[in-house]
Amino acid sequence: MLSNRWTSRTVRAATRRHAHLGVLAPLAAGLLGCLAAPLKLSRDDSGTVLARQLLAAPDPSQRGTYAIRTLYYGSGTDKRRAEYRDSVTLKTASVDGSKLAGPPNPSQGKVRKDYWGFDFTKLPVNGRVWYPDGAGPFPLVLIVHGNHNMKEFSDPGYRYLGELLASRGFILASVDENFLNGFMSNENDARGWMLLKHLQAWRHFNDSAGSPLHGRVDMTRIALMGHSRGGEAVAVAGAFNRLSHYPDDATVRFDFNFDIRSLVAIAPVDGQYRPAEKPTPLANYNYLLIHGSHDGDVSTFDGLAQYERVRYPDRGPWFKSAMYVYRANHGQWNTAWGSLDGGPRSARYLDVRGLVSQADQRRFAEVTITAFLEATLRDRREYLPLFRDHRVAGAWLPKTMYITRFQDASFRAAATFEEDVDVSRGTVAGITLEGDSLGTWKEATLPFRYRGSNQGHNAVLLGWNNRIAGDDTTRRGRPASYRLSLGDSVRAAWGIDDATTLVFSLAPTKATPGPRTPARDSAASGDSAGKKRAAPKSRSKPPATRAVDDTVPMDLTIEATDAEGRTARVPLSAYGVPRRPLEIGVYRRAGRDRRRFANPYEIVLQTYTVPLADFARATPGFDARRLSSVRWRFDRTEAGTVWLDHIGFARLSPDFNAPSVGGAR
Amino acid sequence: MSRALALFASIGLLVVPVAARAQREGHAPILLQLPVTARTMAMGGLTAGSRDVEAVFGNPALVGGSSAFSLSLGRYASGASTGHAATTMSIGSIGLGFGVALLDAPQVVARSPMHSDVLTDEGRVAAADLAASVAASLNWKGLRWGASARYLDARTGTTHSASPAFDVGVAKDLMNGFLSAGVVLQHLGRTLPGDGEGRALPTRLALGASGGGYGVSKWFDVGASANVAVREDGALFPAVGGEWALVPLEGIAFALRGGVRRPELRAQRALTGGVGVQFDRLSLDYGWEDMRGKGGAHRVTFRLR
Repeated sequence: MLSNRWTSRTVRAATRRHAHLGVLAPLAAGLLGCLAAPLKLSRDDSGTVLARQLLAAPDPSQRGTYAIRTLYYGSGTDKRRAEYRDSVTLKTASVDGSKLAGPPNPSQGKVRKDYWGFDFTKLPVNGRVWYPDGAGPFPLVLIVHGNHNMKEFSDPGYRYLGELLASRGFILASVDENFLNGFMSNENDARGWMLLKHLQAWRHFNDSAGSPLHGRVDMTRIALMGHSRGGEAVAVAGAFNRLSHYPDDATVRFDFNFDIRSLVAIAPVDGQYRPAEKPTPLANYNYLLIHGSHDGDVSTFDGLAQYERVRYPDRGPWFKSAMYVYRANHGQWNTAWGSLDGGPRSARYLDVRGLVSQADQRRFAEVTITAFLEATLRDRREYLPLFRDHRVAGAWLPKTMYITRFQDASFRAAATFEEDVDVSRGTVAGITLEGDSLGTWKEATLPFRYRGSNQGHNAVLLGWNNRIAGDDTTRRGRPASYRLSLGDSVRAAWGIDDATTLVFSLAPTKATPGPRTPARDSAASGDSAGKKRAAPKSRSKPPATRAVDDTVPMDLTIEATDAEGRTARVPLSAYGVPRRPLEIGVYRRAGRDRRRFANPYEIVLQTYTVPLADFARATPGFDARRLSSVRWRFDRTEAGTVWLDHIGFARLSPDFNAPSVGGAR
Repeated sequence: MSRALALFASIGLLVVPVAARAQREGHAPILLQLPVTARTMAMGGLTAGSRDVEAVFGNPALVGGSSAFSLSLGRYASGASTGHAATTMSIGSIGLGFGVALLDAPQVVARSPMHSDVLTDEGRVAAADLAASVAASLNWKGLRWGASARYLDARTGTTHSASPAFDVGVAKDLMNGFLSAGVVLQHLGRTLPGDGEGRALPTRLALGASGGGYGVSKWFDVGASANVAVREDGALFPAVGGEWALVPLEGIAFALRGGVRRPELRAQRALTGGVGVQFDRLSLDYGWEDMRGKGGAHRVTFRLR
């Protein structure tokens, strides 16, 4: 009986405890639910955008025919890396990087030396190599990781690329720079310089009669790839490659001058190293930039600033392309890094629910990087259209959304909005710019989403609302437009004709000007008389601009007019998807994205290439050789705002333009 | 990390054989021998290596590492209540801390200064201790140095005694700031007058290390505290404590704490424990210490960083 009573009391007590738990657990879960940000993703349009596969070339993510061989090269004495101590096939001498990098403080220097067994005067030249089993010579590609926990070695994480590229006839060396990782800063010059020291080692491997790589390396076809800080390092290496002295200490002489053709930056940082206090300049390299929207480490598209600084003064066979991958992150490009961009504990703050799978993200890397290297190192030009318009490779690319920037060396800039403060003048004499019935028209610096940061260049911001303010909500004004006019001299100098392509980059924003005032509409001049210069700031209140969450892609008409007044029109959407900004949420805590970033999206311009021949097809008789103006007519979406930049003309190689999605053909 | 573990383990071994020994009480006021915050109480009670607001009453070299405010309320089985308010801040390289602690503990028999039986036995004779501290710290030669001045006030019935007291300490951050270690000479001052010859301040040399928020896995952090104090009469008081925290979301933490110590007061026992919840800059901690006779003591601390 006593036992029963005791049991009964125990059960009641347990029941009360469970009742408390039953209340507390949902309360805690509810609290966490309130504090966690909901998953917000833009509506996926890949089902339609990537519906077609127009490139007939072999899928670049598929293995090639070569058997794959591997080897290690390095100091042969590495304390921490058994593969670089016990398994090296090719021994290398260490290099003195002490003038380019050093520990942040003496205690870190001691910690680092204790751990690695060497300091910055004896940096090892270590690499793991995947190479094809064949006589060669094969193009050489180096890849370098970025910053990470120095004790979690990053260089093995590109094996998936190494094996793929080796099977397709490239040599890939993943460079060990783990000793530059950890609590380091201002060391990206050393990261880039190390790449060039590796190339010196490779020249030796290729030239040495006893080397297993003797004569197998094509030192005239070299590419450098880098991830994160390594992504900036490849730009630094590209710049240093053609310098005779280290810009920050001219006692360090350079003698590199390798035949580097191509650079690939994967989710790079930018500006951590500034040679002689200036942004790193780059000229005459093919340049591929890829970056994920949901990068939890480099959370803005930093590489765009470097992309802008890649120039082609020699008008050689160069091009550059930047690809923004929706829902990709920072670490999944490297199998050693994974989906948590801030390390294992970042599961507490990074929202990884929206990420594409690791397999899909790497597949994108495999497709684009291999195609880029095939096109630029082995002249497989059938892959070039992918870098102009990703929609041509719908079957190859993982099903997510992409934004592509593109420019080739033939590009002639008509309006880049950098040269002066006159909004009516283009970049070169003979180009004039006019707006008609616009609610917003100004040139400004293109922002990054990080508060206070920008993309380092200007663009024009154009906003319109075709509705006339008033009680009559059906009243519409003439569609707003923005026109670029060419003088005869420019047209002649650039040799514009049917083979010329109109190129510009554009990105819609979420802002929408308020309805147009009748006075503004009536004041706007017509097509013939409408040379409306930028008006001085009106004293009347401008139409209110508000952000809208419109997920339907906007559209507009591109209108070309020749000197005879013949007008031809094509829809913008035929040449790319003018999507609204893609929604990005990086953090789990509600409100943290808003505190850290100015916008829940990144303004990434999409490049549109419109062959002038398409206008002639749309309007028989249209004469591209006498092109007098191009107009962006905002007639397909009632209201909106766009950034527009890099308007110009290119004489693209036919390889870039065929095959083409959409267009008027 | 291994060195830190060795330190905590060796102090832990020191605690076990001496924890059960009862103490004679020849020092006063007892307020100086009670833990100040709930987290300190839960982790063994001593604070020679603790940062933040605990340092105002612990090691002054560690004040000012962050700006914070804390407020505690505590209750003993006898009905005695205690509380504290403290704040710390940094002005340039100088850390400053201010705090006041109070014990209101009616006695059964009026004795001045009071003995620790006021914490376990309910009485009717009004008695209270008060300590008001101001502390400052600065960096010099790679170490953090600090000093504090304290006004002590003990009242029993109509008897009133007061005395100034001082602490001096030195501290250093280790393991990239995960751990702070310090040495402090506490409660320097003259004997607190009272009945008979009065009672000496509990002057002691304390060595301690403390750390928290060390991530051991995706969702869990650990923290630990280890201290050894040697009182001027040669008595040794080791204490160790540990903290295990679940961090399900950035800025949110649920902590479970435990400690073991050699008690300094006769009314105290060896075991301590507690829980805490942190919400960004706010935290609410509960601490418990085992007391002789009538149950334990409870303390709640609210902290704003």
